[in-house]
Amino acid sequence: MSDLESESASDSGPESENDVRAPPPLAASVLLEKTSIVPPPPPPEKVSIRLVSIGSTPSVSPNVIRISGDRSMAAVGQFLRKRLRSKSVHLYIQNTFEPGPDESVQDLFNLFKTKNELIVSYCLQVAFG
Amino acid sequence: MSSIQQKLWDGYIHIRVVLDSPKNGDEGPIELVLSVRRLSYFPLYFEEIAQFFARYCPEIIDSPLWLEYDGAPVQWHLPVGLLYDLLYFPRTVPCWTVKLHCSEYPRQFILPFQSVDYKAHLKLVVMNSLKQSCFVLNGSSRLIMNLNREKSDQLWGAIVQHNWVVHKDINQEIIPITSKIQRIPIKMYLSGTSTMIQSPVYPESSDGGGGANTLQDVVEASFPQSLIDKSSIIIQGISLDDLSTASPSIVELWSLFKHLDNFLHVTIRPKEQE
Repeated sequence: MSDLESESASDSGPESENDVRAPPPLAASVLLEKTSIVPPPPPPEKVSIRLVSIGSTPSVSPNVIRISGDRSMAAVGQFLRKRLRSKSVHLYIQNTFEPGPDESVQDLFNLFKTKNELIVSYCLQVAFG
Repeated sequence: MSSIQQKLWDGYIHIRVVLDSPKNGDEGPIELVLSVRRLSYFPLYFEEIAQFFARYCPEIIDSPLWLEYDGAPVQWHLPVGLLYDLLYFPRTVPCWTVKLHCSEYPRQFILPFQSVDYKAHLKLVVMNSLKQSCFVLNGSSRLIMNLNREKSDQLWGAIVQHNWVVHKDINQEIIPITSKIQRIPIKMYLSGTSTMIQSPVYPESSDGGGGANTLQDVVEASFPQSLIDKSSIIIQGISLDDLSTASPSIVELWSLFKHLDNFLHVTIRPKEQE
């Protein structure tokens, strides 16, 4: 098992750079500040992700990683691209759909987990068209 | 079709696309005004936009364009109606002005395009969203995976051409009848942040009484009450402010107001102070 935060901290830069989440419009964030609304805190826990390769795509080690729930799937994609030394990799949940890179790991875990792990299969090519 | 669904299906938003830093001297801004369907996606209009602006910015022919509103790159993979509700306010005029960029694509913030085949990229994204919502609704994606190539192409074609009859016909094959719905695909967005929340939402409320789950229950499960008190909850441009007095069941709301990806997209937006 490996901790994704310590793994990728050295070269990943600021979090927003690899989470593919667009910043809000200026007026919208100003309004939010004015109303002193506090956005919900990020989920405190880390979730386990089991990485399963599809077809001829090589397996990565470790194949179970722990990642903080508020990270997006883009961070998982980045981890895999680095390990596979590939420019692109397709990630699948439940062997059917590719989640958006902006979707939070915690939300996907809550919706699609199997035995307390989110199983993410990955492939260098499109696997389920 | 119910009159609500008819109105939604026919809903348009006026979008004014203005070229960022035009090189035409003193002629003023170069702009294109489009009527964009609420139930659609911006990339379906990108070809038309690129053709119009090509003579002012030739790089648009081979490099992907992108839109910006008030400092925020517009996330093209989200439905247009949702983006309008989520990003555009305070709203001085109904026509939404966005800035067109022909270079410096912000890959770190919005999904990249590998080429200018916008529709092909959008298709991948939308079909994946449909598989995801199909899984949430049915407990598996079997129904959509079992659609043959012809039907799956027709479904995509109906989304592109905005064909109600074909869309309804095929879409009903991948969504269960109301009594068989397992969970409801919902995404909630907090305006002014990049927060998007989706959680397991069941048709029946979790209090054990067997009553219907309401929008109020769903929102309260994900956001603190202090935030809800100061916000409007907006679905398909409609503000559902007084949830406590008339809170419709979440299944009902989903079936009336879902987008083309079969998700119910909900915007939580701070109320403007007087």
